[in-house]
Amino acid sequence: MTRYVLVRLVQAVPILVGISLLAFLLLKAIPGGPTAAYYGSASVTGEDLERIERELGLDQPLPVQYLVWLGNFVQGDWGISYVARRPVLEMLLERLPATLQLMSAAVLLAVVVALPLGVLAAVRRYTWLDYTLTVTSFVGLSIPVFWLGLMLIVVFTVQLGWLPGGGIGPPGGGGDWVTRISYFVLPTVTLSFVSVGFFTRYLRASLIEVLNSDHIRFARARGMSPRRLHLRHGLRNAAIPFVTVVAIHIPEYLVGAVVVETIFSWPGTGRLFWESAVRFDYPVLMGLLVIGSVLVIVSNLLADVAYAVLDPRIRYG
Amino acid sequence: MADTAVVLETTVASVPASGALRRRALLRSFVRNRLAVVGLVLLVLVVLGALFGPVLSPYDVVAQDMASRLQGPSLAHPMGTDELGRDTLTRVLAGGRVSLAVGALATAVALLVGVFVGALAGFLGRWVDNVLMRLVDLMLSLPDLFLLILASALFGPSFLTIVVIVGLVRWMNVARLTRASFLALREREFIEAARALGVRRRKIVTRHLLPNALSPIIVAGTLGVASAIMAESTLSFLGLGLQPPTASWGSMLEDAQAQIFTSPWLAVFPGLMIVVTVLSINMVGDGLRDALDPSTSAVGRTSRARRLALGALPPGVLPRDPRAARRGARRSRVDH
Repeated sequence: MTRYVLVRLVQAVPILVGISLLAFLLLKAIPGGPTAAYYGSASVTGEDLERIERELGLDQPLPVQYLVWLGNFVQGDWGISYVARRPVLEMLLERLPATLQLMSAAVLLAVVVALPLGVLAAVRRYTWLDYTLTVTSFVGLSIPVFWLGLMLIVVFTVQLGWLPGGGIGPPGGGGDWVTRISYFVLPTVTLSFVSVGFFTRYLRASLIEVLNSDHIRFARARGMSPRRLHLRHGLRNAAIPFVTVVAIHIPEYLVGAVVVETIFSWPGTGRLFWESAVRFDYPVLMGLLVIGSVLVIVSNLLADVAYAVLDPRIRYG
Repeated sequence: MADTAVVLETTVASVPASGALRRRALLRSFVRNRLAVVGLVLLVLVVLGALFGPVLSPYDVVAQDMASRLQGPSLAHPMGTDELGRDTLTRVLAGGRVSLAVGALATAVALLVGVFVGALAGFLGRWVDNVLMRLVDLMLSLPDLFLLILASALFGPSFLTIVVIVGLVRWMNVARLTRASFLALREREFIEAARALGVRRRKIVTRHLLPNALSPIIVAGTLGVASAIMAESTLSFLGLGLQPPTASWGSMLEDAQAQIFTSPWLAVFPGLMIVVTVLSINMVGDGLRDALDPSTSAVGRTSRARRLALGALPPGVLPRDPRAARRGARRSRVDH
């Protein structure tokens, strides 16, 4: 097991190197280059620029520059934001908790809703209920996240006035827990919506596959109760690929958070990404791109490991 | 994206059958699929509306009419008017041209790059395959929206750059499918025969391999248009896509956001159009997959172990699951 995890970790290294190379080259491709941050201020003269370039090692050959940049990056020096003039890593870490809260709430909601729906669709397969769920999730998969967010604001904030349509909590902080949670409702629903349809479809398919297999038929022939059959023997087997799919799906939430946080003025990394793009704050964008890519790799790894841990039938060398 | 996992399931459809007969069989199995037909009708309506709507409409797409600004839906303006008094229905139809064009062209870019890379990797194999597939892995591990936003900020959002960058983050799936088909086909007897006859490599690829690898590519291409439209509208909604005066459904929604408290109808209709378009394309793509891919009816409902065991065999020789045959085509399509 340990060996398997180690092997998978080693396999991720070339991709990580590729990502760092890409990030480095993109930084070089930025209009104005890496010293663009200093162009704005009047006190910086041409001489200063030359000195800065020398200090940053920009007169060195490219491979050397890359290694120096990589070394700094690994040690936490992710550059300075053009706009905020603060270290990028510091800004990202500041914004990360809000996004992680939103993401975990959304993953939780998606799984909690999709689990019963998927089981229901599989158990009652080829009935009107199954077809209704199939069509619903099909429609759900075709709704753009940002439009769903807008419509939820129109209905629940503008028309009904039930729920706040922006922010992570009451202005100035405070408020009881009901108030605080009310700020989570609309962003969480919006962010989890697409994956509910996806998870439901997936769970249904994998559960049907299990229910069609021989050991289930045998258990049914022995007279096992349907509930026990479906939950104990069916769902337990179908849950293995389901867990993997949820894990692989996690980066989608980080991407979705860019849209959701922008609509709902959520103070997380997603909104930071959008703000930085609008203001051409490239170092911040690059930092977030790296974080996002690492999250993709980690989730894939997590999925593989979960698969190996949960399914004793699978032996990895 | 959500559709990749589904598309990857499609295996190589590679039984070379006579053209006319095969086409009729395909048509029949597509038409039998009610959802797919509904999707096709909806899609044709959207396309026709986008093409002819702005021409037939009594209103101008850009002309402002301050006397009738921000009106709610009425008989004269079925979708209301915006803050400059322009008819929303006319603008939605005109925006459809832009959204559909970006979707189609970006998918064309993705198909070109994907087929090229996949064909190269699948046909040449060895280190070329290795290098190209690592490139695919790398691209797949970059979150697509992040890449889109970054590229839009770097290269500036114009119609052309949006088409190219949306295409360039969506080719990996096609490349994988093409490669898989080529790898499977490469060892088949008719390719062997063509090689033995001394057919040139270029001709083997274009005349023998590619036509037989098309089915999964067509499906991926169809579904790709939906996801490209989604990508463009997201980018435009965030203000990083198409810039005024060019309006797509996404950028109309961005404008609508400012008026959401007073004129919510502005945000309703462009979004509905995206939903209808994306949904209909997905339904058509799903129908195409079922019609084109012989394995969804047979392999789709066998157990995983059996599928693995039979995976090496060409689809035509698969023993059909008797239960599947009894349930008929209508049920088999929901199952994969």
